[in-house]
Amino acid sequence: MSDVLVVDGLGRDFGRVRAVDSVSFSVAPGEFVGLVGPNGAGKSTTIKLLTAQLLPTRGSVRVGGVDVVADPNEARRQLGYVPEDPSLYEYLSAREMVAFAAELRGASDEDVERVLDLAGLGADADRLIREYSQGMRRKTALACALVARPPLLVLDEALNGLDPPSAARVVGALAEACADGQAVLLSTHVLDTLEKVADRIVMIAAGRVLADVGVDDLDRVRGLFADAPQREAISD
Amino acid sequence: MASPRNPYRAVFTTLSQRRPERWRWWLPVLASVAAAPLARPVLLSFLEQGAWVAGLEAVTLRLGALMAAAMALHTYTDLVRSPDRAVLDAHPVEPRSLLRAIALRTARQRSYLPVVGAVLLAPVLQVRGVVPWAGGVGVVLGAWMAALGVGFAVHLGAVWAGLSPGLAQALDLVRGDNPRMQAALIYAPGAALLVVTIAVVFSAAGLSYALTGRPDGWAFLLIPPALGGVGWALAGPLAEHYYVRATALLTEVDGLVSGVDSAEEDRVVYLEWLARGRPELLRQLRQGWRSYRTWALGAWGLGLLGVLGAWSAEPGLDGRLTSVVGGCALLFTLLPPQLAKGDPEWLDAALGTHRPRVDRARAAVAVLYAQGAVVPPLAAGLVRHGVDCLAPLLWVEGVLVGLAVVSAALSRRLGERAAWGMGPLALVVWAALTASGSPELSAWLQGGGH
Repeated sequence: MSDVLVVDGLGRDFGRVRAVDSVSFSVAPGEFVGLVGPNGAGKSTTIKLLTAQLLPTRGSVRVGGVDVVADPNEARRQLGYVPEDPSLYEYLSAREMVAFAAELRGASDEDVERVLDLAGLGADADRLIREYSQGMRRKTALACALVARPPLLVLDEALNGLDPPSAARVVGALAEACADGQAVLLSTHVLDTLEKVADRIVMIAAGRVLADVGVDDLDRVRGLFADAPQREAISD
Repeated sequence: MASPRNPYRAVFTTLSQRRPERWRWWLPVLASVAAAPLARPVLLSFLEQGAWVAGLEAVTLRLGALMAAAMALHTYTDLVRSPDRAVLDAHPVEPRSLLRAIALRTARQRSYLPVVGAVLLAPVLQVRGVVPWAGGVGVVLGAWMAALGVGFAVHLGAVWAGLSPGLAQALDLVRGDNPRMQAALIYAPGAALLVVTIAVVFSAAGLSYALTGRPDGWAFLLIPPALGGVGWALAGPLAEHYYVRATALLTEVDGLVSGVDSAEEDRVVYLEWLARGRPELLRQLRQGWRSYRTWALGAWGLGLLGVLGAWSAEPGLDGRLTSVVGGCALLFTLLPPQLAKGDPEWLDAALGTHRPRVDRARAAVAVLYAQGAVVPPLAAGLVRHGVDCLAPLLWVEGVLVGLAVVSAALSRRLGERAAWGMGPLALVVWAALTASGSPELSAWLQGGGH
């Protein structure tokens, strides 16, 4: 089966700063990939490039076979995305927000109930989102991303701000999605969590892929963190 | 067959029901009702004169242009920079349905504008009857409709222009210090205003023809709505291609702007030398310069407008100065709510900030920024008329300081929402200020409005 995400020579400059140099990796259906790296490594910029929120300076990204620059809306259909700081309609309840996402993506009412349960929002699903904690907002965004079973899930620091039981529930939901054939790309600092669920780790530092290894090599990734190179300005 | 449900419209309706903000609609309408008695002597004093049709043409043209300017900005805010974008960025969208829902919401929320226009033209109804008044309202409403359709099309077209490699060189010529892609967005409201104003010139002239015995002039009133229809027809296909792409352009622009800003972090902030030993004033000046630089620079542009009034040798210097310079200066009483926007309470608590000191600093920044609108006409007036110009400008300064203090106090309690109260209040105060500087108006008011 062909890869659901193909990143090829992806790069992004901001003026004289090379935020992402030349990143290449791919994710297969059903695969759980951790995207890791120290602060300022270029993870969030890479995720913005993957989700059509930023234009690349060079290289390409294909999601489900769709080029994200050529057809960003169709690329969005192929992926569920949970940003680091999710934006939601504050005056909707989680159930209404997820139902809205389901309607946009052509999912059913049963799907809405399924993902609300999966995200652990059942009891609070009818409260307005403005009353939610950061963790509950993140779980609502996750439910929106999961509702239509898109081929790829992209999550930017999705475990931040979650208490341990909630983090375990989210990771469980992602593992279940992988078992259903969806691919997951999770950007995180929490390497220990990846050890339990990820198939592969892609480590980025100074905008470059430093390691693309199986989860068995996690100790090597930990070692690379200590010696990670710093980003450099573009030379003349 | 029932039309398919528009999910965006359903959500927007739910949100507006749960967060009722009808007061935002009523406040400007009530302010216009309060200011209406002043409209006749200030705007419509020609109604009893022989050339009243030409006067009505000129007034409706200006009101129409104001509608177009307001809607050109509102359509940008509602389509390109609205909070919906951040929510919808995580999902695929159906751009035409979304555009329809946004347009309906914009039309509903901004429908107070033509109502305000109709209220301000009410003296026409009183003096000249229903037909001229209805015609004037038709010009104003047409301008509003035109700007609604054209605004959406032009802003989406600006996204195309910003992303188009073929236009890169042209944008480089006009972008100044801004990122190239931002140039297209910056000029879009002006382009929408220009196109709509040209159509309003025809419709206002058509009204004039119709009221002077040429009934075919009424047809000219259809030009702006027709233009709006054309804009709307173009907006659909443009949305299909450029609504989603606008996100990448905005990320690009914001990223580059923040890069420009951070490069300037160490440079001097506007008027910073006045804040030595006053940390609160320094903080507000920094926030003002980094977030609302346009206000500081725009004040000097408004000042040039004031110079025209101050330099004129025509009689009525006091009235011109209080009306023009006062109007420009009072705009800056809307700055404190902007400075209060998103100001985190926890930061003030952590810093042990003395709140009244913050209020004073915000009021001071508003007054200081407004000086760009006052100093050039003051200089021009002193050169041209000597100290005669001092009294009206000192009066303007006094009113400005008082209103800035009120604005800062309201901003502490209401944050950015204070602007919704300050806007109408500033309008009423400006009308009173104008009345105070005009002997004819004062006489008219003392005569009970007759």
